[in-house]
Parts: sequence; C-alpha cells; structure tokens
Amino acid sequence: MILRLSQRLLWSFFTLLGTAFLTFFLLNAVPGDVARVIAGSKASPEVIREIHAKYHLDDSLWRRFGLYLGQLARGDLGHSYVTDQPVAEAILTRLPTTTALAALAGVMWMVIAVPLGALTARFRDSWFDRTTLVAATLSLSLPAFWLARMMQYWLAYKLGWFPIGFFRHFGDLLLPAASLALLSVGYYARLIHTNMVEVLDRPYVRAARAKGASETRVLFKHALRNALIPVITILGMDVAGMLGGVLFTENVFALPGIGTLAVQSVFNLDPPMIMGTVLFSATLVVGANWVVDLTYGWIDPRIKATH
Amino acid sequence: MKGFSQREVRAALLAVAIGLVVARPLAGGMAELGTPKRGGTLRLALPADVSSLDPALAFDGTSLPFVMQLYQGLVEYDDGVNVVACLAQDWAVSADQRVYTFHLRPGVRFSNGREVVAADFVFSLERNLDPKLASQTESFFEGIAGAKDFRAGKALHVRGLRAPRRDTLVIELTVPDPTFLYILTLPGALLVPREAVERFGSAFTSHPVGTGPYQLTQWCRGVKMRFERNPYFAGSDQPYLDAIEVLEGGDKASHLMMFERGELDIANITLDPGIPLPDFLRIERSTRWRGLVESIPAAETWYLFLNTEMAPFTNLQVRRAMSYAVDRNKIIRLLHHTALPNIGVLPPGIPGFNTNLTGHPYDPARARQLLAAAGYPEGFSCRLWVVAGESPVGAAIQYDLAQVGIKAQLNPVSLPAYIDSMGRRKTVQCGVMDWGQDYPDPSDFLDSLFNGNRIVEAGCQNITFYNNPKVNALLAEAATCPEPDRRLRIYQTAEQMVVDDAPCVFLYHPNFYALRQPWLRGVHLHPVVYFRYSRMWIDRGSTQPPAPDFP
Amino acid sequence: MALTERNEANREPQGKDGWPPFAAIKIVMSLLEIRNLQIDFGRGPNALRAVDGVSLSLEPGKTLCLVGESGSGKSVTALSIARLMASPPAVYAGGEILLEGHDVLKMKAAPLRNIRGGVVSYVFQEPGASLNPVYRIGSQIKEALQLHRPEAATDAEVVRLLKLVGIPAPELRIRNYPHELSGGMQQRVMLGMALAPHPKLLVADEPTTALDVTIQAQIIELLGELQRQFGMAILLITHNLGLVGDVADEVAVMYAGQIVETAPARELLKRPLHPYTQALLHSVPSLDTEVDRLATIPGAVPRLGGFPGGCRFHPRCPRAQPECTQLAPALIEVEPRRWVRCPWWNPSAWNA
Repeated sequence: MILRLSQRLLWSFFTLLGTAFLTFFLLNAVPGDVARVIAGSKASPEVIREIHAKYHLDDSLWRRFGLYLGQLARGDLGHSYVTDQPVAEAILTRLPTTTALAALAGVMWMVIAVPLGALTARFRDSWFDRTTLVAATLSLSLPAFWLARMMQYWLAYKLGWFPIGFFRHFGDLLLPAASLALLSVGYYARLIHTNMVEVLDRPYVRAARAKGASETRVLFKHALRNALIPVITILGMDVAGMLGGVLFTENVFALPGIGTLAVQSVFNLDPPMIMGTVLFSATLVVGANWVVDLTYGWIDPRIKATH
Repeated sequence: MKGFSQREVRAALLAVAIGLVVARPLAGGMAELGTPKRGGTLRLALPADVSSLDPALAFDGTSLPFVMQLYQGLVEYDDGVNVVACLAQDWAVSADQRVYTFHLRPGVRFSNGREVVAADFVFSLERNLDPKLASQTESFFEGIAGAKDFRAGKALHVRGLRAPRRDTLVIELTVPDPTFLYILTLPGALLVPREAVERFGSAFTSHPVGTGPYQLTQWCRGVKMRFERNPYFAGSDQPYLDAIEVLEGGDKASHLMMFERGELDIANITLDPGIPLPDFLRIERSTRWRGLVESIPAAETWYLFLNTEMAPFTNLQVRRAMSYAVDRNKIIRLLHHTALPNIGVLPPGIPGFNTNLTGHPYDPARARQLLAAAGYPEGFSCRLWVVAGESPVGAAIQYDLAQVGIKAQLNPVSLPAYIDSMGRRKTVQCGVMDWGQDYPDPSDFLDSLFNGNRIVEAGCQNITFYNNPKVNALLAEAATCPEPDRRLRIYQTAEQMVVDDAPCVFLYHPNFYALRQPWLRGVHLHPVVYFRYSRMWIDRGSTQPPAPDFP
Repeated sequence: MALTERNEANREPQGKDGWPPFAAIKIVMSLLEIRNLQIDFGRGPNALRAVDGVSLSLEPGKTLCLVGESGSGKSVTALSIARLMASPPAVYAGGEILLEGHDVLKMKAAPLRNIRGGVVSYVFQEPGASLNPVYRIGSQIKEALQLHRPEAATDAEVVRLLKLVGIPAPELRIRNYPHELSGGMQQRVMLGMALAPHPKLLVADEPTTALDVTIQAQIIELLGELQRQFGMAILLITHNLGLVGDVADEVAVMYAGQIVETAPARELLKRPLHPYTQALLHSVPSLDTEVDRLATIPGAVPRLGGFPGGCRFHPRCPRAQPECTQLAPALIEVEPRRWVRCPWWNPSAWNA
C-alpha cells in the first residue's frame, strides 16, 4: 500500500515537472521580448539591458529553468514581471471567484442532466428522448464565447434580469454559471442516459421491480446510483479543469477569475504569471485525479480503494 | 486630383481638427454649460488591470489619466497644448537656454500630509533615471547634465539636479532643449515622496502618495480601483467629484452594454477609439446618444512603414509607388470615418503642422508607372506585418497593393513580438504601425522616427531605418534652435524631405471618442492627457438613467 | 403468528373419516392459473411468438416444476406472472394470468406493485447480478420489508430472515455488500429477500444453475424446508430433470413455446409419455451406469420464427410419422391430470 502510494506520488511529481518543463520551453519559443512589454515601446536600450539583467533573461534557458525550479522548491511562485504583483497572491485572490463559478455551474448542469438522463433512459425512443437528444447535441456544439455573449445580450442587457457583468455578490454569478452549465449539460445528460440504459437492463433492476418497487424508486434509487459512478469521476475532472479558469465566460461577464489572469499573462508574455497559472491548473487536475481515485472506493463498494 | 489641391485638403484637415477641438465642447451639448456641482462618484470600467500607478512605470494610455490624478509635476498643460505652471510657481531660463531655475509654490503637501520641498524633485528625477527602476520615460531625461554618469553608476547623484533652497530647484541641461518643458510634463517627472518610496519599495506602485487632486483608497488588483479626494490637495481648482470607481474586467462590448443601462458614466476610457467600431454607426445615428459623444483628434499617426534597408524598399521609386497605391479614403470609410486621412508625418494640432505639404496621394496609375520604371513591371511580393486584431486596415492595404501588382502577405503578430521585431535591423520588411505623441512637438515625431543618427541594432525607434544626412543635419539644427518660429520652419522643411523620400505610406490620424452619460459634465478631451477627471462633475438634475438602446 | 394461521388456512379442512365436512367445504381456488398465454416479441408481421398458448395451474402450497431447454419459453412464462417482461419488446398477445383470481395482465400499476413481492416473489438465476452492488444486503432486504410489511422493517427482522435461510453470523452479514459473499450465500440472501414479504408464490428461475453442485443441493433442500415453514407455492423453472424428483408435486415440460406434457412428478419420471420428455430423461446421466458418451437429443431447439411445420418437435423425434409434418398436435388429457401433446403417446400404438 505504501508502495502504491509513493508510486502515485512520484507519477504526480513527474507530471507536474513535465508540465513545467513543457510550458517553460514553449513560452520561450514565442517571439517577443518581455522586457519590451515591461519597459514600453519607447524604452532606451539601457533600460532593456537592465531588465534583462534583473530577470536573467540573457541566461541560457536551462539555467533559467533551473532557477525557476529552485524558486518553486522554496515555495515562491515569483512576481509578475509586468505588474510586480506576487503570482501566488494574484492566483489566490481570483480563486474564490473561479471556484464559485465552477461549483455553481457544476451543480446547475447536474441538477438538469441527472433527471433528464434518467428519464430519457426510462422513456427511451419517446419524443421526449428524441427532443432531448437534439437539444443535447446542440448544447455540445455551442461555442462558449458566443453563448456567453448571447445570454449576456438578451437576458442581461435587453431584459435586465441579470447584471451585465462584474462580481459584486454571489447572485452575479448566476448568469455566467448558467452559460457555462449550458455547455456541459447536453454532454452529461447523454452520458447519464447511456449509463442508465445499460444499468436498466441489469438483473438487479429487474429484481428490484420484482420486489414491488415503484418505477420511480427503481429509477432513482436502484439504477441511478449505479449509473452515476462513472459520471462522478468525469464530473470531478471537469470541475477541476474549470478551476484552472474558464476564460470566455470570465471575460464576457467581467469576472475576476483565473482564466482572465492566465490569458492576460500570455498577452503580456509574463513568464512567472504564465508558469504560475499553468502549474496551478495542472496541480488541480492532478489533485482531482487523486480525489477521484480515493473517493471511488467509497462510491463503488466493489472497488477496494487503491491506497 | 479630385478637384482639390493637396494644400487645400490639408488646410481643410487642419480646420476640421481645430474645429473638433474647439467646437465640440460647445456643440456637443449646450447642456454642458452649467454650474459645476460638487459631489458624486464617477463610475468607469477597464478591460484589464492597470499595470502600475507608479508615475515612473506607468506610461500607457489606461494608466496615465489615473496617474495624472494622483501626482503632479513642475508644470502641466492648460486646456490646450501650452505648458503652464503647476507645482512650480514660475521659472527662469538662463541665457544659454541650459539652466532652468524653478520657484516652487508654497504650501503644497503630499497626501500623507508632508509639505513639499525642492529636494523632493531632485529625488523624483533621480529615481526616474535609475536604471534599476526601468522607468518607461527614463530616456527622455538623458539631457540633464550628469544623467549619463549617474546611469552608468559613475556618480552617486545627478550633477544637473540641485535644490539650493527649500523652494528653489535648478535643472541644468547638457545642451539647450526647446522641448524640455514638455518633457517635464511626462509622468517620469511627477513628484514622489522619498519616505513613501523607501517604505513601500516595489509595492509603491499600488500605494501611491502624491500631490494630485485624488488619492487611491482601494485597489483590489484585477477587480476594482477607488480614488477619493486628496484632503491635502492645495490647488484652487479642487475636483468636483468625490470619488472615482474603476471596475476592472470584461471587454468593450460589455462595458458599452453596461453604459447603455446607466451603470457606467463613460462608455470606454480606453480611447481606442472609445466607441467599439461595430457599434460606432449605431451610436452616431442614435438620437439618444448622438449629442453625448465627445471627440478629439488623437495626437497619433498611423502609417505603413517600409524598411529602407530591405529590398525592394531600398528603391525610392518603389516606395513612392507604395504611397500612390494606397487609397486612404477607403480606409477612412472602413473605419466609419473615425479618422482623418493624412499624407504627412505630423498630425494636425501639433505646432508646425504644414498645410502646404505635398505628398503622394492615391493614384494607382502613377504607382504602376513608377513600379515599371523601377524595374518591377510585374510587381513584387512582400510580407506585411500587422498587429493581430480586428482592424480592417491591413486587408484594405493588401487589396490596394494587389491592384498595382504588389502581392502583400499579411503577417499578424502580437504587439510585444511586433515591437521587438520591428526594432531590429533587417527583420521587418514593412508593416502597419502607429506612433503616439509623447508631447505636442514636431521633434517627438520627426526625431524619433526619422533621425538617422538614432539608428541602433535593436530597439530602434526609427523603424524604417531611414538615414538621410540632410534630414539628420536639419533635425540636429532644430533640436537646439532657440527661436521657436525658425525652429518650426526647419522641422517643416525636414518633414517635406521625409515625405518626398517616402519611407512610409502615411495613412491617417484617428479620432478618439468618449461617450458620456447626460448627467456627466466637463468631459472635454484634452489633446495630450485626454481625460481630466478632476474637471468633471455630475449633475443629475431630473435626468433619468437611459433605457437601453434597441438597435 | 401470522404464518401458522396462514398455514391453517391453506390446509384442507378435515372432517369425519377424512372426508371434507359439508359444512366446511371451501372451494380451493388455484393460486395461480395461466390460461392460454401468448407472448410475442415485436409487433405486426414480424412478431415472433415466444409463448404459444401455455396453460398452467398451481395450488397453494404445491410445487410445480417447469422444465425445458433454453429457448423453450419457460423463463418468459415465469417472468410474466408478475408482468416482469419488458414491454416493449415483449407483447402480451393473448391469454390470462390469474393470480388469486385477478388477471395480472390487466392490472394497473399500483395493484401490480402490491402483488410483486406481496403475493409472488422471485429468485433469479444469477444471485450476484440480482443484488444491487452498491447497497448493503441488509438494506436491500429491509427494502423488501418496507414495501410490504413496513411494521416489520427492522434490523431484527432482517437478522431473523438471514438466520432462517441459513446464513451464519447474520448480525455481521447485514453490513456486507453483495460482492463480499459467495454464490451460495448470495442465493440465500435472495431467498431471504424473496420471503421477507411473506409471498404466497415463489417463482424460482433456475436458482441453482449458476452455483456449485454441492451448493445446489443445499439450496434445493433449503427451498423445500422454507416451503414447509411458510407454506407457499413454488414454481421452479429448471432445465435439470435431476431436481424434479426431490421437490416437485407436478411437472410441466415445455418445448418451443408450448407445453408438451404435464403430469404429477412421480408419474412423469416413472412413465414419460411425450417423446421429448423421454429423450430428456434418457439424457440424464446416472451414477450407476457407465457410459462412454452422454446421450443427447439430436438437433437443436428451433429459433423463434423458425418453427417447423406441424409438430414442432418432429425433426428431432425418433417416433416421427409423416403426419407429424402437417398436423400440429393439441394437448390431450390421456389420464386425470396427465396431458400430452402427441398423438403417438401410447406405447402400444407404435409399430417398432
């Protein structure tokens, strides 16, 4: 057990290290000198040289990577080259917004997808099932940015039912979360549908009916619990992925999340911020993997938790 | 050409520009006139976080107006392009034009309560020159005696900055510089207190302490900024608004939506162009908003630069052909007439704007002639760099060039990459770029862009790498010329030479627009600083927030 | 206890000299009566008839074995008793299934739920698959109680049931998940779950097929034991004739969707009349005789929709006559309570 645990730890460590490596070297392959961004277009060559010296921009890539790793090992994510804000602070102050947004969206789409998936499986091939299939495919095809903008335009601007943007209190997240949820609800509804259809064919479902359980009980107590097992893992990964930042939604609705931070840092060619946001996102995904694996044993009794 | 001589066109241009500057405040809303009211909070929005509020570090269009509310310098602009007294009460210039003696206004305090002394100016200007700070405007102050030594670490202080008395500041230059007073309006020359800088260190950028009309009371980075009155602000022109709130995030489209719902007082403060192009026509045609648009010609020029060191642009005829090939009026139409066409270097409104300038206006037949004469009867191929974005200008130029046989391949890049590349020798063949003024003087355009002596291998601002010894000599002469009129004439001669040599296809000067709510008054765009928040006031009266505009 | 009262009610009243007293004559209705049941798969011209005119009856407390190879339609018949066949694709094309006099095929949802578990309970072939893997067995059994005997839905009752079906240490077992138990234990749990609501009829669909031979015997014995205690009727579906003799009162043999022979168990085993039944019995290996090869019935069970004309068994029948290809025989009552679907049932009527 300890062996398995340490194996996993090692794997996670190498995943993160690999991510850092890839990002760092890719980032430096992009043309453009961050010193120009910092100093402005009218800076004198001396100032550029100073900045290069200050941030070791003239050192070899390997050396700079090594310096960065050393910094990381001390727990220091560095400061933005452009705004001089500590990277960790920038990420942490934005984390609650992104987290709230992701969590709310996740709850919203599950609340819709679970009954939809269960009921369309129960009433397979009915008009209800067919309509849901079309709607789900539509939802999968919607571009995130377009949907966010459309919802903002019609529901916030034209009808005034929601604020157009910015995050003053929790209610401001409803519309952005809804636009995020609409993107995934179709996928999850179909996923749950497929799993439910399979589960409804299982012998224990028939046995439950034979006990005299009502269709509702069979569907929601016996079948759903089994059908959701694989879905939970995907949900965990999805939410973790969102925590790395949902750019389009955050941008359109002016929410101070990690997504906008990440993209802004790319436009600015700001290495510490880019590395920080990417590594943060990667850590979240790796962490989510862990959590999912650990809780899988709890969700599905047949699997001994892999410790 | 089309019935008007170039001269008439340029004269008209100037008239329009002046008209916009002068008449707008009158025409835009008769309701603008009225007694300013004290109180209220101005609500603004920005798409991204301001990078810095440290005057030495903030030089971009979004940070600058806020920095100007927090800090002041020796001098400032009046409502136009003239430099008038600010923290300096008056000043005297030595006979050889090299030594400036400033008498400081008494009773000025920082927002931490401390009274200002001359040594503060020495500190601020020295700090700006410190290479470790990497100030954005550091290079402008190299003319101060001893600056180079200080920068190189050879001296502990700048020889040319002296504070002989509490209320007297002396600045000595190495050579006379007629633009020096302009330079003193740059943010690098704004006054900062030593104790705050030393106390906060690199955090000073978010803990500003200045003598300006406002102070920063809150900054959640990436979220919101809030400014409130500086209780120690000594000027007689106190600001009217109690507070300014800036929300950070979102994009121009959502800001416009919020504005139309009455949640913002100015639609866009990014001034680029201030009303998103897709909405521009709608706003201009809407009866509700039409009268609430302030505009000003931007002191900015857009051009297609040609690298004179890379073929085929080493050839003069080819360069002139490029200029004849481009239909500027079409570009103006594509930009919904938010710009004025131009064939010269200087934008209208800059002293020295030459209405008699002759350039190379649209004439595709002439372009083809010149190309054939230059040895390119079939045209040629080139790579046209543009900033990646939604601007239609690159495509319009590409089309026009194709009509005369020039196959231009568009190369969209990000701005940092572009700036880096275009400053390197023999890297960028040609591209669409702009130059925004630092101060309203022809030297800022001509010297920076076309002085052959300023060519360097990397980070060069003369991105055409144009080097004409005659022009260089003229520019050198004008740089130290003590007579203002003669100086301007020299620049005009230089400009004409440059335009004849056609290192650029000069395109247009954009206008900047500000869309304001009916209850916001005093929003006159300043030709250099654009937004002066301390001059604005809110008069709600019986004005209801407008309902959203239904296109 | 309620059980013994029920048992009393099920026993025939005794009068003087063993004859039922006139005053106490009670018409003993069949608990289960299937009349001419027809079940199709699919609709319209492409419908395949899986069960073709099956009739059965079962009295309280008795055991009926329904025997046949896979594909004979026996499971479909059995599942229909509580209308458990998924419809679509199954279609109840005709006939009646009377459970305590009420036609199951015409029942509405609520009464149907009541009879499922309350009147008829099931035990299925693969006990592991028939238990919900994510719930503990204790809660699954408790659910059966909650649905029909809510007043008894307690842990104590669950433990009692588990003891009844022979599970050791039941107090610990109630917290187990199905996958933690062996096949035999799982089947006992299923039995316990089936009996929890005190049903009158237990339908056991091949309950031992998936289990070890040794466990098989245990389970069959347990079944018999429980029947004695609870007094319920049992419908046992199996393809294994070896079990028949131990538990059945009556046997019905199915082939290709039809009943081909019914008889009291001992009679059938002693004197099978239908060629198919004879062939089946012949193929059961015995420990006494040594054989080199197991006897099989040549040919295979015809698929749905691929039934031969005339008698469905005739291609494999050793006694097939030319008429058998044309005439589809009907069930004939050759003796009281003995029915055969073959005109050549009488051994003395053959020629060789």
